Amino acid sequence: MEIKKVNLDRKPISSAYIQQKEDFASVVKMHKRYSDILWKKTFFYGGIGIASIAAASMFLLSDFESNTTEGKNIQSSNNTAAVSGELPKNTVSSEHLLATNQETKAPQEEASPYSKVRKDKPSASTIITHEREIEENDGPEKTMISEVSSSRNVLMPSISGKYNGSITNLELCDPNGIRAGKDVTVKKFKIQYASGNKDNEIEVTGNKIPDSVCEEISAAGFSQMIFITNIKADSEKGMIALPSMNFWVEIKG
Amino acid sequence: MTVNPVYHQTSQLMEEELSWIRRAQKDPESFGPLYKKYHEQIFRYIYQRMDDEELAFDVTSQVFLKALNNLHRYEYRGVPFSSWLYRIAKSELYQSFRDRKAQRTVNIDSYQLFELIDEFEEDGSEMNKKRLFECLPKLKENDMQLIEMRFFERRSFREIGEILEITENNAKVKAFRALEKLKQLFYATDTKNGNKKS
Repeated sequence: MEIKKVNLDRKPISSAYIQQKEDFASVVKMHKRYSDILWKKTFFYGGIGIASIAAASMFLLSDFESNTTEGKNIQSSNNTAAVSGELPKNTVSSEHLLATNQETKAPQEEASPYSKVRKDKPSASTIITHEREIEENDGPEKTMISEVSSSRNVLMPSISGKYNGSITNLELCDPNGIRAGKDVTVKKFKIQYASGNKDNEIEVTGNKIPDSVCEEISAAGFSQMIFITNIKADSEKGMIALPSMNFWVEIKG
Repeated sequence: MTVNPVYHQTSQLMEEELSWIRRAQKDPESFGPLYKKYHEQIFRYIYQRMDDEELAFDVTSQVFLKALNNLHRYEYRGVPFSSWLYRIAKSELYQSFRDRKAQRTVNIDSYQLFELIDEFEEDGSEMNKKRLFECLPKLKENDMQLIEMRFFERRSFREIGEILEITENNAKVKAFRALEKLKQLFYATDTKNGNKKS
């Protein structure tokens, strides 16, 4: 940098004069303005990010809510009568377990020997998390059924409201068959089970476990693991594949 | 040469200053005591290097504004807060030169000129004063600022080091070299004038 000028004996400025020129208020004012601009910048650029997150969250939330509502609608439309009609002394801890499926009383139910099953079916597109505890006082044996299903935003098939774990042969052979949501109809699936000394795998068209299979499982007389795979369903999006299910089938009745 | 005591700080004063800084980092209004303490020093530092008084006040305000805006980044390193302010002032000052708002000026009084000649072990004659006055603008900026800080503003080598972010010893060495360069220019002027020193 070039030195342009040299001043000799320039008139000195007094400290009092410099103090007069002090203006801290304007410095603070300018600082606040600077901070505001900075805040606006941060807000502006951060705002885009926040807006994106908010939009994504709203989308996911609305999707989740619609699924949940759908599930609730299915439950409320399906479940009307109290379980007490079938299980008079049952103590049920979960509200929706007090209700039983209206479809239980459908004409087809009477035609099937497997009609006397409890039918609370959270078989909506979103499986609703719930726990239930049924204390059966009818017999000396108390049956505790606990079921925990995680809330997942995927279509999950179910039979008698269950998609895995223990199930009774009566529940397995629910006349409503495999369900997976309001607008989803299971069209075919494969079931693997044991009868007598042999393992069977059959492909079933429709959503119900065939009566013949139910009879074979019941006739086998022992608890066994069954696998329901290759579940194909018709939905609004066309034919879709649903997750496989496996159950530990306990023989009752 | 006696150094200006205004730049010296006791540890107690520095602790007090640090508490002001901590408060000001949370609340800008608390920057007031620091502003009051250093406004004159910073103004004089700036005005020493430029010609325009009003612009010097403007640049001083900019220095404090910048300090306040960046106070959250300030880290205490055991040196007075003023050294941080001086660094900002230097940056703002040079920015004003680059923007051609101000022109680099050296301001010196007769007594300072005399003291500098005394460093050369020459007599303070009018002719020598004139020779020195002529060779000052020929000095490079880095050397000039060391001469200014050491001989015109009478800062300690420690403080020069803190402002220039160099060690005290380095400041001493650099100031000595700057003085040597000025001396060379002084005698070069002397040679050209045909008054070669015996």
